[in-house]
Amino acid sequence: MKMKNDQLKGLLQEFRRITPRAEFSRESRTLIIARKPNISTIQPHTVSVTWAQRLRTGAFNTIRIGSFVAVATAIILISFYATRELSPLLLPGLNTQRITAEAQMLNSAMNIELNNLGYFNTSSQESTNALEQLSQKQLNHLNDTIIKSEVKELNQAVASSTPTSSTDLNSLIQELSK
Amino acid sequence: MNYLLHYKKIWLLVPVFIYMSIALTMPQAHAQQTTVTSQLTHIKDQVQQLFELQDSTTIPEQQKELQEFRLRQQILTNIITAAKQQVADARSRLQDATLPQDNNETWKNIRDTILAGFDRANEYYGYAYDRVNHDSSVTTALLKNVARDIEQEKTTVIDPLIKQAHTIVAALTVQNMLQIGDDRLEKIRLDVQKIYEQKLTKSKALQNLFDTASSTLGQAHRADQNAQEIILHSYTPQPNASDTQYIDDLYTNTASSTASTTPQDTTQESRLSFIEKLLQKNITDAITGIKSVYDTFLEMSSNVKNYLK
Repeated sequence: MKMKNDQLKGLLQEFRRITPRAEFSRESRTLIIARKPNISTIQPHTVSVTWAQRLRTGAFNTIRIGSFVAVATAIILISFYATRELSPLLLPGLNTQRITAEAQMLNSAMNIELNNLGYFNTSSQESTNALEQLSQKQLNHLNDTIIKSEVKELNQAVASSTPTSSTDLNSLIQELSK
Repeated sequence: MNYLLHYKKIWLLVPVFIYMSIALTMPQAHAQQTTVTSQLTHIKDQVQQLFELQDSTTIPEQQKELQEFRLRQQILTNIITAAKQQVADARSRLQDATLPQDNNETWKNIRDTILAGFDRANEYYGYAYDRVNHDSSVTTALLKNVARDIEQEKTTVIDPLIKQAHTIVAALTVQNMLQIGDDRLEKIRLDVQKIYEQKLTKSKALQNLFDTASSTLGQAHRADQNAQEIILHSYTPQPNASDTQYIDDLYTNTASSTASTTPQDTTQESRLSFIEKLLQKNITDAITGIKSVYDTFLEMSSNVKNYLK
């Protein structure tokens, strides 16, 4: 049946009159006001954020890169110092500790020979001191305390002993024959 | 094949044995030196006492004579003991020395002759000791005569023997030291080779240092070999024609090059002192050479980091 214009007007006017119940609108209003606000709108310092939460966020990449750089630097530094300290292994012949120990042992042995022979050679004595001074600088690295103390004792004793005990003895015999 | 490798490894131990033989005999040699040295100090003190006694005016004459006599007896006894110790030290060093394989018979001959000389020296000192102590007719005058006699025998016969013994031991010990230097040079050679093969350095400094050390060590070897040759030709108790010729050649060669070391006259005594001076020069040259080589080694090893740039 065709709607008459009058009937349509009447329907539309009735639709305009639809409103919520006063009670319903009051309840809804209270609910809306009481609802908790969204977290992202609040300042960050009032909330504690754990590392785990941070990693789960976009900061993960920065930490990844940072730790990679740190480890790489550590490896470079370690290998740098390691090769400096490990050079005894890489260059066994040029081991300063061993060369110094050999030099000191040879020096003492040579002093004993020179003393027994009674050679008054001042130039060889000077070079003795040069070698001792040079090897003295390396002594800080020597761990072998036995070599150190024995060689030191020998050097001191040899320096204080008379080079030609034979000549001394002969001059004393001369005193006795007068 | 495995056996060969094993054999090779044993040879690597040879330098270790040489090193140890030098290092282990050192304290013993040092102890010998201090025994005589401490005896000498004591004797010097006693001689000082004797002088003070002779100069003293407070002691009566007769007492003075007696005290002087007793003191002289003591001093002379101590002198004989010290002189015997000198012989004993030289003897043990010579006996312990390992003689070279080359010309081994000549070396043995030389050594045995000197040892026989030491036996006679001990007999002499024993006789002198008895004269000083057990003879009932000992007087101050007798003590003075004994002292004069000891001085004569010691300076003309016994001391030259002792000098010969120490010279032989020095020349042979220096040879062992040179061996240690050779081994260290070889190890360093491998390091230097490694450095240059891997192009770890552009500068020639390290190579130059190595070459210097190598040539100095070679010179030291030659000096020690010279000393040993001179010993063989001049210490031998029965020199033959070639020995005499060798000494004459040495004399003329050195006379033409250095006028200062060769005496103008050709007496036996001056010839002997010429030989001794030549031996002294060669042995000290070898020793100085070794010291210089190790100076270079130390410089190379402490500066190697700088060269690796």
